[in-house]
Amino acid sequence: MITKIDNQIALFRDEFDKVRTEIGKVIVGNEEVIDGTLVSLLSKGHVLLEGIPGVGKTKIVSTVADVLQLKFSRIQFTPDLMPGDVVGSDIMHETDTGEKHLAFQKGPIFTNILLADEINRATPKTQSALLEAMQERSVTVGVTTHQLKPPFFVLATQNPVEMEGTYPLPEAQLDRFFYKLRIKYPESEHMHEIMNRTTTSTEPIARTVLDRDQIVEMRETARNVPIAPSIQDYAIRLTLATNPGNAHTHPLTEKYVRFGASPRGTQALVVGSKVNALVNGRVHVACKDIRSYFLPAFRHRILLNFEGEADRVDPDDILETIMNDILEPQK
Amino acid sequence: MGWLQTLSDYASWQEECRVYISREEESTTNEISVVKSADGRSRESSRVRSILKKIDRRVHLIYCSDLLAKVACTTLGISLFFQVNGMLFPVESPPLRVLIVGSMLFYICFAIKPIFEKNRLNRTAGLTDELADLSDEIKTAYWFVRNPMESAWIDLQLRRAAKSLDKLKLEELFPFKISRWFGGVFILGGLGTGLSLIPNETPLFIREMDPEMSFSEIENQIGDLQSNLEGDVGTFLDESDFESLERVLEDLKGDEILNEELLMELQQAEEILNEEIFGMDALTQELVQLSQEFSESQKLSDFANSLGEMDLTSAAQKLRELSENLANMDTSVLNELEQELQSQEFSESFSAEELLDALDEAGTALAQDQISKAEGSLTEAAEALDAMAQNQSLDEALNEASMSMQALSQEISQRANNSSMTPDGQMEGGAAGSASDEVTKSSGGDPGDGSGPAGNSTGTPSEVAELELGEATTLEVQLSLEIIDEQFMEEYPDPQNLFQGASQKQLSDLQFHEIGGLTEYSNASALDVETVFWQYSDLVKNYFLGIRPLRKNDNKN
Repeated sequence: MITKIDNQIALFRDEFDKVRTEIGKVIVGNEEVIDGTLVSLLSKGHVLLEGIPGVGKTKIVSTVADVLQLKFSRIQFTPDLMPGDVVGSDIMHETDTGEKHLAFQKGPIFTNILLADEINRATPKTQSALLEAMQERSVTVGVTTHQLKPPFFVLATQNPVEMEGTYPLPEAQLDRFFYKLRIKYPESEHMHEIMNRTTTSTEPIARTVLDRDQIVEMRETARNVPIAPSIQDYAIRLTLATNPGNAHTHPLTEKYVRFGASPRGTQALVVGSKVNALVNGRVHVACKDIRSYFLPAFRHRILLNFEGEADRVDPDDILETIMNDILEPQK
Repeated sequence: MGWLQTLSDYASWQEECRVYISREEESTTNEISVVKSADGRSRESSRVRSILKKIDRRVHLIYCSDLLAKVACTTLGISLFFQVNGMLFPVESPPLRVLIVGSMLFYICFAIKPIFEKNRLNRTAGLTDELADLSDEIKTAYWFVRNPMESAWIDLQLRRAAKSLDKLKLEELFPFKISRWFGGVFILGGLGTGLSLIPNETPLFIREMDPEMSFSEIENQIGDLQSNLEGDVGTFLDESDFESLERVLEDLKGDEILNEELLMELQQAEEILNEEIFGMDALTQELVQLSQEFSESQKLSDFANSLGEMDLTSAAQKLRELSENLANMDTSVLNELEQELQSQEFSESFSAEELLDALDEAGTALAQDQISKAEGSLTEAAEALDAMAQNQSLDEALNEASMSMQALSQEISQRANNSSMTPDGQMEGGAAGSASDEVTKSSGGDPGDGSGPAGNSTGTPSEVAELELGEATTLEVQLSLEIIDEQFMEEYPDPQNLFQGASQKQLSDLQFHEIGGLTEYSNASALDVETVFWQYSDLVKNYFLGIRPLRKNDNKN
């Protein structure tokens, strides 16, 4: 049995490395974003990518879709996009015999990987069409609920600069995202490499290395990783520190935060840590796994109060301070 | 068809049998694997626990060694401090054995303390993780050792942790190093030994302050005082005073009392001596008065002179001579002498009673022409003077004793002050200081030396002070109203027309920023935070913070 688990772990690492290598052929730098996306995929979570235009948000998503042998759909969110355009709708269908009946026409959401490009450009009504799909993995149209085939993975992008004509995602929608990953502006070395790869006649192409079954198996493997209660307690203390009005609240939270991370955030923290532990060849979760994805898991779950907004406080600064101040167990 | 049916039944039966056997085999395999797994888990758990205990013992030994070095270093440091302090200041240091026993107790307490702590192995596991960079592997494994759970993943985790612990080189990870504090121990030990070789009979700081006074000299003074007490001074004092002084001197010699107590005792002794000296002083004054009264007498002038010079032996001699010559004197001379002796009115408070009575009796006897009785009375007066002469020498001895005691008390007070002074020169406690003050008072300081606090305004002010104050205030106020500066005169040459002239108009420039209205819909959006100019952000923030509803925390603050 132990040998079997050892093999599973080895296979998990091997497959993860393969995917990472393939994506690395196309995407330059941004290792943290790529790892975060894959960890989120293997944790049954969705990712919100944030970055200024032109840094490769859509490219990362399309490359991830390329290396995974999964069904891929892309929706370009615009203000006039309707919920029916996302989930699908009942349309009149005429049979060969001339009978007419309503048939459900599936929308682009019925896929494995969904790229919701510039998600904050759509109206809240359309954005909320994703809510059920993201959490329940099902879509209800009229009285009929349609199950989505696993794995269902939403990769949404948004631009933090242009706020004009946008609809910021509501808290409930944001909480559905497992991680919010920020794509940094590439450094000069990476810029050279990007130019070399993309300004010639041949552009690198990523091979497909992982199929649906492998992903499902990897997801199950990751969930089995044990976590010691002391480490879990560390994750919980970090979560409570982001919430005002309790014994563990951090002073900075008390000052600037209106609502902190939800238990769903802690789930994301722990499950992501388990995947990260396996990626690093461990069969237990360590405190450094918790810390690795603390910011991506919590940054979009922190709702600043007026004072925080007025002082232009970045949630990342609050979270970093909390992470530095909350001591690890037995330290 | 029947046999086909039979064949089909047989095939299905065979299949069922195969399934049954495979299930049985699987369950047997599972049972075996569970037993194996349980065995393996307990084995790995005990391995993890035993290695952790081994590490814990090693860590504790290192801790004890380091603690020993630190305690030894601190003890030596304190001992050295007292040694140096004793060389500089006359401070009594605690015995070395107290210091050593205290340090040993401290060491034992802190060395034993970790043994009784809870979760020692958990802490050791955390330490091992940190030092060996094992990413909480041992900590997690130890938790599963304490809380066993049936999971192949946990078994694997335990096995991996045990392997990691086996691979650890404890000598490298937890090396037995000689603590750097031991270096300090050697240095301080060497310093202590070196200092003990330096002769330090006298504190350095005291020598610098008063080179004339040393411990041996103080001891000599005490010896002198004791010999005085055993001699004339002792016979002169009351029994209780004598005992009190003797006790003080014994204490001084035995050095059994603290400086503060010593000063109090010395003060008391000084007061006793001062009382006696005061009595002697009063007697001396009375004798001087007597000499002045007899100074105009012809027959008693020699006696008066001797008395005035406080040569009491000579005065007694003169009285004896007078007594011897009394019988040979004429009646007129005797009458004159009788008048002189009887004309004196001695005050009732006169303390030289014997002398005065004798002189009075001599006068009365002469008046009654009882020459022999007068002779006897004069001889008695002479004897009284002799006794006084003897007391005069005692007075000198008392004075000397009092001076010595005063000097001694000052010296001790100074030592007490020095010992309680911080390096900044500040007094640490009030006891020594107040005692010193009392000593100064008892020694008779100048009461009108002008060092007292200045009088406040409640007293009657002197004329000069009143005059200066009044003049300055009035003059300044008056002049300030009258002064017209030169620049003003230049601008307005005729001050008389100043108030009648037309009022001057002054133009001012108003500085303002033009703030445009929000013309576009998107700019007016509350979401666009940039609509608030950065220079007004604080103002806007404070405004909204001011009008917001109170929160729970606000009430607390």
